[in-house]
Amino acid sequence: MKNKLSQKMIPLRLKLSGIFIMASILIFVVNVMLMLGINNMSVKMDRVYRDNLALNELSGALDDVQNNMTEYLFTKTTDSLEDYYKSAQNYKDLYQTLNGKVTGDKYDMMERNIRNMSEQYLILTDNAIEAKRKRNVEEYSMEYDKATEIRNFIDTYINSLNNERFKNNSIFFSMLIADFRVFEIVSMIVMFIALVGSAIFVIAFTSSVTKPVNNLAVAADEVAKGNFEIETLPISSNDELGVVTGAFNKMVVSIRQYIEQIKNNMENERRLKENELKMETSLKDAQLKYLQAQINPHFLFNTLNAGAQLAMMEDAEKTYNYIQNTAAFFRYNVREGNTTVTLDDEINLIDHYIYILNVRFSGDIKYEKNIETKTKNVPMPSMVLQPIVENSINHGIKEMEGKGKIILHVYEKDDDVYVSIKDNGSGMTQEMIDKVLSEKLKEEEKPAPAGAHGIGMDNVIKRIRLFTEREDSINILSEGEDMGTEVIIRLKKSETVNV
Amino acid sequence: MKKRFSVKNVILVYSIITFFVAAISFAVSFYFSRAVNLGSEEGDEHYDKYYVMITSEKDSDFWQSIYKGAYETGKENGIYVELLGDNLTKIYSDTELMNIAINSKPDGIIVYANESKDMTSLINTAASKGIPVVTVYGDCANSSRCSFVGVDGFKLGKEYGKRIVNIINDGSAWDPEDKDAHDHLDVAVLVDSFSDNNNQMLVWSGIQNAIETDNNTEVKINLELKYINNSSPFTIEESVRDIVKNSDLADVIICLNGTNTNYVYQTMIDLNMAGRSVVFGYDDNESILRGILRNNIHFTMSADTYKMGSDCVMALKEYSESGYTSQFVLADVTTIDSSNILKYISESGEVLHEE
Repeated sequence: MKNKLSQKMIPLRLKLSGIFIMASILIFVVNVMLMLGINNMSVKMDRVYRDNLALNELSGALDDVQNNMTEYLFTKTTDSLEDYYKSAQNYKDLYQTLNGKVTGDKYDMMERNIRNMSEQYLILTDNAIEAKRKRNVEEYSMEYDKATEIRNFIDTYINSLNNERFKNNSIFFSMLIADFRVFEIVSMIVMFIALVGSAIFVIAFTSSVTKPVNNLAVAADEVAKGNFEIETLPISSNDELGVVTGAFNKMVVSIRQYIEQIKNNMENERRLKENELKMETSLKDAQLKYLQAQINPHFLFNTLNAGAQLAMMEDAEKTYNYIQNTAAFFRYNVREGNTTVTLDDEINLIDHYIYILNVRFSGDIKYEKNIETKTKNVPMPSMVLQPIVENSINHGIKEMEGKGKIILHVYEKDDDVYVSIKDNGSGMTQEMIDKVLSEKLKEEEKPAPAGAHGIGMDNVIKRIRLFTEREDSINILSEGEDMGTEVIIRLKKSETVNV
Repeated sequence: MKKRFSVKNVILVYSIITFFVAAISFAVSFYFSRAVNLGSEEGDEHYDKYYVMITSEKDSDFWQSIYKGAYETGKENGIYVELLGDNLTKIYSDTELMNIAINSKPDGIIVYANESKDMTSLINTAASKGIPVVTVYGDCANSSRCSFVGVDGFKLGKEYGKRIVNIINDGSAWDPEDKDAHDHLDVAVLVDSFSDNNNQMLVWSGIQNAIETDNNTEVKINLELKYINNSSPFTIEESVRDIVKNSDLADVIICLNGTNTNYVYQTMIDLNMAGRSVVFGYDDNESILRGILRNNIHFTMSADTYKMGSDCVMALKEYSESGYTSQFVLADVTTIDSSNILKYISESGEVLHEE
């Protein structure tokens, strides 16, 4: 990825124009090459007979000079003199284009000779004209004869050169024609190669652009159908398509993650809600049972308070204490809203309860309390310990006639707070323990005495488990019949006490 | 698969294609530029000077050999030597060619001259225009030519004369079947009737001189000049045939140039008269050498033509550089007969083609 980023990004526009430009350049190069070739050929074709044309022109100009000179010598008119000078200048211009250097080429040498003879010829014709103007008949006829002789030499030279050149050029021309045929074939081949080459090139280059688009389209279609489990697309180009592909990959991964998160959140919320509902239901159940049992706790509580006042006034201290404890016990139950209390509250409630029972059963129940840790910062559900103690008394020690004993032990272990309620009563079989712990005890199996109205063990177990969110938060130990029972509750400490 | 279409690979493909096209273009342009050069292969050379050579017998082996010597020596010295009139559609006489040469303003003229007035005047005109003239083989002694390159005609004549005396002494001068007493020997010297060249007269004098001084025999030698009508190339053959067919054929025929030698030799073979007369030739062309090998030509003399051509160029060069040169440059003359012909052929590199 880092590597990809470090590469320079080439915009798609540049790429596409690059394809066009490069293909065009290729075709352009080929065309230029072929055009140059054709041009070269045509220049050569042109040159083939250019020499002959030039020589013919030269020959014509020479005739003009000769004729004009002759005419002037005959007529001596101003017109013919003018014509002579014109034609002489024209001839001069023409022969000066001829080769004047000494080369190894015989045709060049012929040109050189024509040039030199022409120079001499014009001198002679000028002399003849001059002599005519001076009316020197003898001189101008002599100069005329000399000039004519040279003119004939020049004429022969021009004709010979023309002839030789023509012969030579004809050979050259046929060679050129043959070359031209070859050139045609070669041009075709080169054009074909260029065509195939640019086709390959364009296909290759456009593939590099369209392939990622295709991949993206296929992948997008998959996603649109709802399949997020697609492979990440490879980023093969460093252009906008690469960027889009990368973004698409990220998007798919992100969507997948969000879906996962939402699923988890929903699951959590559902579980939380379920817990809350269960708690509420259990509490309601407990409260309902209490309300059924204690028809009007407020009335009872107020009545008991009045009784306590009365006992105070009569100096009946024991009665006062009894009524006070009873009132405190009921107050705890009448309290509203708080389903979560501290361990301390629960232990106090047990104190009241044991006191009340001992008054009722005239001190038959021995109660030992062994608190080794702070109890104010341990949260727990309300109405948990009292039903357990009640259960111990009802099923354990009620029949033991003063030998019954209940030991409450609170201690810390592995940062957890353990609450142990132990009795020396009738005990339980393991089968029974398992049934109770698995909350499968059937109604008829509950060994509740007739008229029992307390909160059932199953309700307590359920609530403690819901509260701590762990199965092993409550345990029952018994070594068998008449060997007593111990109920251990495992609670978590809280940093802050929110009760 | 994904990698195949990366930008790098595309550029690689493009480069390969471009390279291909460029290579083909280069090959094509190379091929066609070669074709252009075919048209002007010799035009690239450059020469400092331009000499012309003028002869009315430019097609003969003798003159071609002289021209070859001049051309090659010239080339080595940066001089282009042209055999004037070679490319022209019209056949010009040597005086006309001289005229052309003078008006063409070359740096030097090599001419097969003669002693005629026209030639003298033309050579003088050329010299007055600053064009040095060297005469070759034929001289124009009274003109202002700067040098003459040729053979010593008198010396040549003396050699012919000596050979005549020799064949009298060894008896091979007459037909072996002719058992008559021989008190005289007829010698015919063939000379061109139309010639202002006094070279053949020098040879004639040489022969006469040699016979007078060397003939110590009883045999009387009758020297006779026979004129060959050389007014046109076709008349030579007719003249020679007339002479050979004549019943009064000389015992010895002396030819003073290669053309005449050839015609005499060919005519004698054609008329089945080989051996009837002893033929002295001149020049060393293939046909003449073959005649010697077959004993139809007694002997021939040959100047070193290649060196003559070369000497002409060197004389002109020397003259234009320093203002003077030797008045006469005489070429070596080799005598070729049956005793040394094989050696001569192998040394000169001549190849005789079977007829």
